[in-house]
Amino acid sequence: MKPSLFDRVLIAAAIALAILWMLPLVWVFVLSLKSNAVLMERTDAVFSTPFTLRNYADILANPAVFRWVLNSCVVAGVQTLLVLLLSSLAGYGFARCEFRGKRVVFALVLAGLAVPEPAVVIPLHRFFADLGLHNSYAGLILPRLAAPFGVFLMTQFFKAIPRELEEAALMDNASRWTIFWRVILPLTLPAQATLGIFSFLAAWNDYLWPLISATRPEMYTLTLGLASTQTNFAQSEGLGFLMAQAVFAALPVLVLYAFFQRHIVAAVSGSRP
Amino acid sequence: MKRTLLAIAAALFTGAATAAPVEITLARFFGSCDAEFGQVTDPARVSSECGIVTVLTNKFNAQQAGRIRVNTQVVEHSAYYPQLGARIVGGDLPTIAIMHSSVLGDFAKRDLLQPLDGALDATDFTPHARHGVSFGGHVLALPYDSHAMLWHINLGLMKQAGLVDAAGHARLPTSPQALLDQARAFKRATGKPYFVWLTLNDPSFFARSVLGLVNQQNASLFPKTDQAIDLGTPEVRAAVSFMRTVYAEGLSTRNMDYSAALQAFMAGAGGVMPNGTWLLGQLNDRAAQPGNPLSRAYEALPEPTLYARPATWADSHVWVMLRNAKQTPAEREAAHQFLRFLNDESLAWARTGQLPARQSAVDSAAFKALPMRASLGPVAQVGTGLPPTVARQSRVMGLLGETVAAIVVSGEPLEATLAKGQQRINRLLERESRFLAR
Repeated sequence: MKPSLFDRVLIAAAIALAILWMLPLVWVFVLSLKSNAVLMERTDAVFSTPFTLRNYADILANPAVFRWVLNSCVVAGVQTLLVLLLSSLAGYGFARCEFRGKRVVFALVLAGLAVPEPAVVIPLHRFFADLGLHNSYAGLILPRLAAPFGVFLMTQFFKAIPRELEEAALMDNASRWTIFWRVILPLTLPAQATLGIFSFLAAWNDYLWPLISATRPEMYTLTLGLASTQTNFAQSEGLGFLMAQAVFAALPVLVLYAFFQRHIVAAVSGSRP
Repeated sequence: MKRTLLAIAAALFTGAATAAPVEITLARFFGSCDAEFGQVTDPARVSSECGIVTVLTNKFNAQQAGRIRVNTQVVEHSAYYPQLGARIVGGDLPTIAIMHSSVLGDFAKRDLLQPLDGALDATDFTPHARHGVSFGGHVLALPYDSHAMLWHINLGLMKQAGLVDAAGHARLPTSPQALLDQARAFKRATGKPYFVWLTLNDPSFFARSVLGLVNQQNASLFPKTDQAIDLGTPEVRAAVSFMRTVYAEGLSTRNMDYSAALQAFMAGAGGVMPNGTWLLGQLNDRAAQPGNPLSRAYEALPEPTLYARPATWADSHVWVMLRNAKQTPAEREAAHQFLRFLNDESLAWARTGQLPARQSAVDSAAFKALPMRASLGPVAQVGTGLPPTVARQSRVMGLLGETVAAIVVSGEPLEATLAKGQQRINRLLERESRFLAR
């Protein structure tokens, strides 16, 4: 069937918007392929040859960068898994279990959404300093496990699952844990995927907390480590290197997206992969 | 007996050989370039800030191998002070840290810095450098440089406008009116604006310019007390009005941030770019290459004196030692040794374009032999900033710059905007004062 004129206009508009959305990314990528010296004189030099991979080579020439990638993978991976686990357990508890003060506790959790990070960062820093946890993976991961948004999302999702499924399992003598793990949790995969994406991206791009918790270069995450290599006037004298850093830092996330594209699209659209 | 003595000697030798070096940490910005200069120990082979500070650290570590080890902790410039603040609160202190002298007062008032009186010889510091690190009769930091505003000049365009002397140097104005006359003549002759100004996203440009112009009139932004700025003085109004006239008459470029202004100047878009000493190296390199508007047509001069006396904004990079109850005497002595080493290498750091903090280095033939430096020595004498005891200087300068930019660029009314700016700054200083009084 031939698409109607209206459909064609819609597709053309979607393509135009997609190109518009892509332009800054393309701009960043092309800038990353130009030398710093050229860009300091003329930014419009991106429209002409020569191009170079020197900026990427400069990033990789720093041996510490591989340690920073590893640190980011550990922190973002472990943090995502633990946020999923804790948010699911808490969400299930709020959605299905009855206990005294549930409403108050849930309200307190939601109140966490309204607290800006800078308001708690100094007390949190002192607390972790007293525990001696700075410059460690635990110090980087633990403060981010309190995820009010995750608890809220999972609570709402669990509430939407019919109670009859649990009641049927209860009649088959299944324990509360078995019901959670075997029956209910698999039904929440779209929500888990959504929360997982948000958590991973937040952990990967996190800057403020790693900045003040990891002060030894060997414990830097990738964002922190790459930023530390920038000179004071990087926006003018090191623009190509700066853009290459942006592309380099985004690469693992893009690779991850390529692998899990099917699941991510399904999660966002609310369908099964 | 012989065997016993040999055993003791062997034990002592082994002990000495395996004793771990004293490790100290150095927190700084300037970026990290270990990949490029990690093995280099000769500062003459590099000229960038990052390169020289890295190489100097390598050199010290090589000289002190087995005795002292300096471990560098590099943090991005814009995030440096928030991190340092958090580290102080958390008790995770670096042995030595870099700072700007303009923020030193905030740390001094909280009694966070170790005096360095006995560790360093301050008699050789330049007046600007000594002024910036002296608090309550104590030297609280090692000044590492003075960085100031300069006039970066396109001599080709100045020549085209007939504004060079017989020796081929730019003829600088000596009063606001002379400057306006020059700028108008320049525009008529070249069709281009006289100034390349940083008018977007860079309030510090306006703040630094006004500070210099006010001090040139023998006046101060803090005439009565360091607790209250006064933007209602005739000197402030004169300085801001002058900048407003330049901008309104199209004698400066418009809508340019730091990077755009630098590109524009290198492309020959204007005659004079007021900017920092830190650009000397880059612009010299550019001028040394053929086929561009600055080829053999670039010079840098101190900002001209338009009023009663020479004065130009300047700041310093300084090295400090934070008070640390956990620090051992060995660590303290190792840190002092490193600071003395950096002080001795003042001239090496000057190759970045910054001015040395030691008068003997400024006066040395080696410094004057560096490109453009011979004419820049006086900047170390006339560099000026806010009074050292003024709190939150970085924020104060930011608010001042925003205020001036609103008048010059956005055309806001002069009197009312200055009054509003004064109110904002003094409210900030009041809050700070209340906080310190608690």
